[in-house]
Amino acid sequence: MISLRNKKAESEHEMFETVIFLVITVALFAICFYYVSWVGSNDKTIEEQSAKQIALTIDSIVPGSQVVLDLPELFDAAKKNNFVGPEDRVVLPVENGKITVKTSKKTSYSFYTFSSIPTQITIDKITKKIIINA
Amino acid sequence: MLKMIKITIKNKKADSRWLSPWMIVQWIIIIGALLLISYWFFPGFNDVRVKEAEKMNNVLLNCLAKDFSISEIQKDSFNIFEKCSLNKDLFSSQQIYYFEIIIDDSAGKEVRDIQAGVNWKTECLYQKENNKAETKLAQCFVNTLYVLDKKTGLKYSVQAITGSNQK
Repeated sequence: MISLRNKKAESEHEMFETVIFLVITVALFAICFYYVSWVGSNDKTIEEQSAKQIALTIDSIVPGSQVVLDLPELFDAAKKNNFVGPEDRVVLPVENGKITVKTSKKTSYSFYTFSSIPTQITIDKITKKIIINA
Repeated sequence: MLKMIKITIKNKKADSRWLSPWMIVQWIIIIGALLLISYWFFPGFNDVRVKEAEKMNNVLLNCLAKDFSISEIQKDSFNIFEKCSLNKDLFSSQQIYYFEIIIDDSAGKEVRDIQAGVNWKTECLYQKENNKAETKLAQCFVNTLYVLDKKTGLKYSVQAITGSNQK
């Protein structure tokens, strides 16, 4: 009788340990997964990717041409941060060879463009597309 | 019989090791390593230095090849920044760009060398020769174009070495 009780208690204990172990493992991997996805989609990363994409577009632009860029994640991030007002505030025009992208009042990312071709950057208020005219 | 009991005891010990502090430390080390790797390597996905160097290379070669005239390029007054629409100030004020144009005649004799920015020629050629990108160094693009002089019709090779270290 005593040995049966002990066996039952032992197996319950083992089960408890296994469950706790699985919970900890799942929690740690969930944290890891969340972190990796956060690094890939946070505002800073979006600003960096967008600024680089715009700068590279300007680098290869030909005078007299127009390029339309669709970067919805950039405007989504700005909207999420309540960075409202004129859409032109999100992508600032080239100044001293540098393009600046902002998704909030506090954060911004700037990237140089080696091209000296004068460009005009406008944002379509309806489609939220970035139009670069050279 | 004794042997069997020993094995059972050992297995029981192994079961209880799942939640031992050492096991948890191991998991923390594994997760920590994963996070550190993602932290170190994630910026690499946004590294556009090679693309920038390639674009600069294309811009330079295309603009030089258009109405190529070695007599005009050899003039002291020749301004590559103006001809190729490059921002001259950035090449002198910022340590982020480099280019070198080497023009050889059909006999292989160098007839013109134009250089601007930080001199990364050694780093660029080292990476090209070894066919290996050293992320700590500036990233480069090397390309050669053969052109005919619009006035003389002679053949020239134009090599452009471009580099960017803008992170």
